[in-house]
Amino acid sequence: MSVAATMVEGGWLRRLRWRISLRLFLSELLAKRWMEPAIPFALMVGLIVLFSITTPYYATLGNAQQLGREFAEAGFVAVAMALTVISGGIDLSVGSVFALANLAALVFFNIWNWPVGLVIAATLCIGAAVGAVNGFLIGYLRTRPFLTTLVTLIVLRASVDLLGQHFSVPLAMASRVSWTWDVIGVGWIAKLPSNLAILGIVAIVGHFLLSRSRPGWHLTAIGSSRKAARHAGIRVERVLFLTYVLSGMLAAAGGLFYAARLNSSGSDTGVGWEISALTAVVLGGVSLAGGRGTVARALIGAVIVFVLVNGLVRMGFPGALSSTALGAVLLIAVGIDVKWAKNRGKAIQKIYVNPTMVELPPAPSIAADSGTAFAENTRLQASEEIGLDQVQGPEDVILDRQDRLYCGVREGWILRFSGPNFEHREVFARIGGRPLGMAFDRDENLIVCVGGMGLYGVTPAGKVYKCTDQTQRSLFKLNDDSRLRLADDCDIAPDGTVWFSEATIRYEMHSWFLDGIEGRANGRLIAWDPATNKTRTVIKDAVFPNGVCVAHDGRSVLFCSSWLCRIYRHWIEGPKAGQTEVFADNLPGYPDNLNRASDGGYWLAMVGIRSPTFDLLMRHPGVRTRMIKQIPPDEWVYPGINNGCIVKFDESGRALESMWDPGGTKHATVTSMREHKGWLYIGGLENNRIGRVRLPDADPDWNGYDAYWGSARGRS
Amino acid sequence: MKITELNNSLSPRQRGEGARTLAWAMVIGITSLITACDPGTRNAVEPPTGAAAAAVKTPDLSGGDSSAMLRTRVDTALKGKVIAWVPVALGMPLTEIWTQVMRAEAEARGMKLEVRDPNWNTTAGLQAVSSLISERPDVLVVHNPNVQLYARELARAEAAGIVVIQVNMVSNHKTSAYVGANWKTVGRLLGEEIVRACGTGSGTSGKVAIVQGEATSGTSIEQAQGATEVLATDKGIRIVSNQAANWDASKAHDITATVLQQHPDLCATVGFWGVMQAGAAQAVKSAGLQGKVRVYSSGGDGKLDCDNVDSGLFTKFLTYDAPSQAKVIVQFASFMLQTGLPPSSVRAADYSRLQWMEKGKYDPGLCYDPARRGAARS
Amino acid sequence: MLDTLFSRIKEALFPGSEAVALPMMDGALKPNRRLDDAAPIGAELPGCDDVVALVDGTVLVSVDQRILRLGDRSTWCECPGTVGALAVAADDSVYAAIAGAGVLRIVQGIVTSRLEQVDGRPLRCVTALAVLADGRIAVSEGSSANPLDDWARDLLEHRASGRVVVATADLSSASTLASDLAWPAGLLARGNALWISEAWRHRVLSQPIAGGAPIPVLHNLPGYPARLSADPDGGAWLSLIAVRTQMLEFVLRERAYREEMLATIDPRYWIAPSLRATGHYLEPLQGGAIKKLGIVKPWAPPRSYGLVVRLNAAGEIVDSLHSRAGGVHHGITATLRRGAHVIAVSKGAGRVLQAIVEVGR
Repeated sequence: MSVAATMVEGGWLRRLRWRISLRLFLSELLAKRWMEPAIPFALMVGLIVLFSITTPYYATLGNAQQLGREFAEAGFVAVAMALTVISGGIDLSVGSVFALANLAALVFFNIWNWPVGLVIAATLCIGAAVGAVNGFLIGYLRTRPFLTTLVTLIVLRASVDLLGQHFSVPLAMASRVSWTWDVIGVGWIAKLPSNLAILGIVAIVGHFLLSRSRPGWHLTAIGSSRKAARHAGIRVERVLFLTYVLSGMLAAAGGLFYAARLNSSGSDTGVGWEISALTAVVLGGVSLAGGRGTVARALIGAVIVFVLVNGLVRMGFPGALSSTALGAVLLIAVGIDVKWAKNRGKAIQKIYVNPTMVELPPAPSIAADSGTAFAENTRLQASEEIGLDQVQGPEDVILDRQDRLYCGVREGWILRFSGPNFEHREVFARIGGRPLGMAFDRDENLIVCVGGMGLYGVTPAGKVYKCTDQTQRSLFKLNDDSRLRLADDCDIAPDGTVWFSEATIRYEMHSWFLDGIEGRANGRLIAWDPATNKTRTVIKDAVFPNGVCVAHDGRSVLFCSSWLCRIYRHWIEGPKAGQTEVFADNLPGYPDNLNRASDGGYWLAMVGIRSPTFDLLMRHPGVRTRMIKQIPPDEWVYPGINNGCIVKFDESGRALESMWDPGGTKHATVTSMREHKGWLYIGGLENNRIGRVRLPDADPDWNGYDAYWGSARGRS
Repeated sequence: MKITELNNSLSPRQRGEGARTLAWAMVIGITSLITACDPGTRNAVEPPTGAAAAAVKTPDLSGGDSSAMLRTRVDTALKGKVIAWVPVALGMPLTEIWTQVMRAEAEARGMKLEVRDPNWNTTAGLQAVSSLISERPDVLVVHNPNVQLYARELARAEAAGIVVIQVNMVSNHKTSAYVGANWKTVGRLLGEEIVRACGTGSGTSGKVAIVQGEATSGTSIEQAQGATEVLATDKGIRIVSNQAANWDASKAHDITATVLQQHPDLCATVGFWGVMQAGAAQAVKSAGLQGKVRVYSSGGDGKLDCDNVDSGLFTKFLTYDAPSQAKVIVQFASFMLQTGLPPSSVRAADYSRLQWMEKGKYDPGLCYDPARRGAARS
Repeated sequence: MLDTLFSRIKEALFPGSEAVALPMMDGALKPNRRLDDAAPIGAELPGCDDVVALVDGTVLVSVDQRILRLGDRSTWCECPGTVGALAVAADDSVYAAIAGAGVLRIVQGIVTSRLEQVDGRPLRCVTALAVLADGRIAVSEGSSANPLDDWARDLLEHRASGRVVVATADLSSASTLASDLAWPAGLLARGNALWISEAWRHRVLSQPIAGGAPIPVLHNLPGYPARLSADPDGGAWLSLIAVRTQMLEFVLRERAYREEMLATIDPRYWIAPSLRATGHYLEPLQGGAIKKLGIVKPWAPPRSYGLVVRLNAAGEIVDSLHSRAGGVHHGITATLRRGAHVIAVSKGAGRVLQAIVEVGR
């Protein structure tokens, strides 16, 4: 079924070298959203595996539980930090809020002997109160988060020191015992350390809140652009305020668990935790620039930091060295964050295009005196203009039974020209996207391939409806190819099935040429059955399938492969049904749309002529790779598309004659043509007109609709 | 974020989903809270004495009492045993001396010393202790940053059969042995010295500044209690400052400098660790009050203390002789390993001998220099 | 200093990030239409190459095998080969370069002597001539490997086999002044020095006539500098035969591709600069030059271009005349200041143009 197998000639090893591309895989992988946390995740797993191997007793349940217990509090602080960072700010006070909460909880519990429930509530309130101060200043008074929370950090730290001294003696002596307190501190919930279990719940709720709820979206939006968020009607002040309140509460929760676990009010509690938390958050892939990140990522980063520091302690590294290591990790993480955030798109773009080797045999001669069917002439220059400067890029043209002329234009409209000289122009339908190939079905609905949207239909009254915009997704492909990206041309078989080509699944309309630079089999031939509304991919791995035309007998579908300069015939009926064979090969140019001619042959629009330097480029994939990397698109070499050429083939695929506009004075980049009642109408992707030339020998009554659906049929 | 508020801002469909999710979360949460809660280590803490002590079995020593057999028995009990050691930080004379002497003593007996350095970071210290428990050393020697931090872990270690010896800074959880100064006595001795110098009839202002260490450390708390008790007995003494410098010399310096500005007629400053109090002494010196303001401290940093006393930074210094403490630790570890007593069956302490040092009046044997010993070793 | 160091480090870390920067056409080089707007003098003159003025003011143009008077197009001298560069001495004798056959001295329309080899090597590819103050004549040879018409090949082969020689006024003897030049294509005597435009290295050098190391006057020009002519104000006019494009610079870096192109493709269809663009569909088409809605944008990357640059006495660019993509007055090979006008020879269009000199520049 794959047509790609025949695409490259030459040494199989060289061919293989360019067929299989690790870069291709990598680029599509990197473009995935889930790739961003994947790297930190891999790092986390790697670290854990490393320490499991190198450290004795590491990979034991007991150790894992112990580590989990020690980790949980840092996890809370990291989540607190992450929320503020995602909102585009930062909360440096998390460490001191943590310390304050720890002290407060100890005092409430041990000295003032409050019930545990009250201790919890009061401690969280303290965190919320600090957060509220931060949030008020940052959200409503618009102070800078960094400085604001730095001040909070210093003020709180000093308060903790003073209070700590005041309460140190009674705290050191205290020995209140409470079942609930022990559950919180050293107990278990469902076999998990209680603090880790609660962290898990908080993380899950937080994750959904952030990524699946409106307040979460608002938060992310503010982080991306405060101004834009305001314009979008988001109540920026309130959301920021609540974010810092939440952050304070989470940090306080961490402090609460720490207090319950250790009953310790050491003066260095929480010192430097803001740095660890920041490192964790950035390492997890939460962007310091704001607007990007999730709770899960923050936790992944926190695990990395925790495992790393813990591992270094275990391996007996001097303490100062582990601090330095943490600093270095932060530096690297921030560096990567900045580089990545800035250059991710660029990096993907740089490796997204993966040229392969396309070797074409020498082109048949097109010289005016060559005597071939392709010989250059000036027949197209005699064309009459229709809608000059009234159309922008009529990629395809078609006429209906009332001799009205339709074309899809750059604006996403279908234009209709009517009147004896087509002087009446109207917008027939506004579909959007980029309308490309068209065909009339039996009921005179206009079926249109719309680049960027899919296959659409327009009723004779001008009403737009969707035919299909997706097909089945293929397994083992990273790129989600279920959506139609660039439906290009369509035609309709006698049974009503719409056969259409999707030129490429890797590029958009505006970057179609990159697919040519790549030269890979990125396109598909798809069939949509209106009766069942089923869409199926008939041929995948086609190299830029472009024009599609159902043969006169309705038993096969012809389709062009532009970059291979080849036309295929795919049998849909009869003994060869399901087989694909070459219809015409080694054309001197790049085939575009293909349509029926009145004499039983087919018209082919040759969008460009193969130029020797471009053919050579196609044999040098490495050169193309470097070309698109090193020089801007305006400088890239294209094939000779500043030219107009239409070729006629007979049913056997033999070229009969050609019509030229050398240099494209009137018709450059010819992408389509339609025969209608003795005239040939010409469309061009980049042109400012439609043209028509008289076909002196053609049947003056022949028209497309009747050729497909029969003249006997009346209007329905 | 309040749940109602979240709900209000969601579309009806989302709200439905959100409500369902929340409901599930609540069900799961409540169920797990009810069924899965377990108050942790309480049942892991073994009762210290009494029943357990009665159950202790005397090792079987029958079968001859030749010296050779004793040696074999001792060797099998000690060879290859691991003593894990977690100071609050390395890189200061006190802990370096302990480490050096303990290592030398342990190796002489065929044991191995493993050191973890949390570098003043209590979180790292805690992690070091808990990870050591899972590594099961035979003896764990800890230097508690404060009375609570390691308490649960020490209980866990004993439950795991590890002999835990605490040095100098004690935890609220008492273990097999405590080796270190009797801090209350240290505080009292310092207090008495001050009363003698600044008390009623001394003709001084009677103003005293106390520089505490880490306020939550047992060492600091008890010294402060001892000292203040004694100081309170003399009506002529007034404590003008009582602040914690968290074992940090520069903080001690700053505190003292401020106190000296307010009270240039200060009679004495007393600190609870030599390295820290040296900062206070420097402040006194920079204020040009050396000799006028008396500087007292306790400590065990060997050569450093000798130098500070010689240079006149300290008026009088109370030392607890760190190398001896290290020797006692190893001896005690050896004892526990030889007897095979369950860790929780023993609650012993060895309070270090305290000696006063004054310029020209001290035993030069107290001036252990870890730098020179370290250099000589390598 | 530090900047250079850092950019080196950056280049080492992220190769390609500092890809060769083409100079911007800005400031005095800002594109305009002044060459397009310049009036052609007379009918088309296919094959026109150089232009000079005799002492009496008669303007001569070299066209194919003849030297014509520009005014009435009458033949001033019929030559034994294709005439390229011209120079006029103070005694009104004319020196003319013949493609593949050295330099002629023509007095009163009659060939009197001939220089065919220097230092044992034939002089085949003379690109420019200049008369020195002492009456001797400087001759530049573009390449010892390629003939004149194959200049594009010489560029694509990265050749630097050109030389500048100095001959006595009667062409009886000559010696080499500078060698290993990358297509020296223009000469101008400036006192004790000789300005040499070195096309493939995009620069103009000032070579002491007494010998010694040359000093750059202009470097990193946006095109390939060719002939120089003096301006009465002490400055000079420099014509550039084509401009550099990023694609071309890229191809010059791509050895395998370039060599295969040279070996297998018709020179007309190479990725190479050209004096004249035909817009033929077999020529390489660059993205920016695609016809959109029936027109080609003037800022499209040009295959050919018309550019004349005016220099002041210090060699700084003070003015420029352009004919951009879409224009026709491309491939300027020679200039000559005549009063309020500058005459420019557009070999690409086969026309001699008369452009207005803007004063105050």
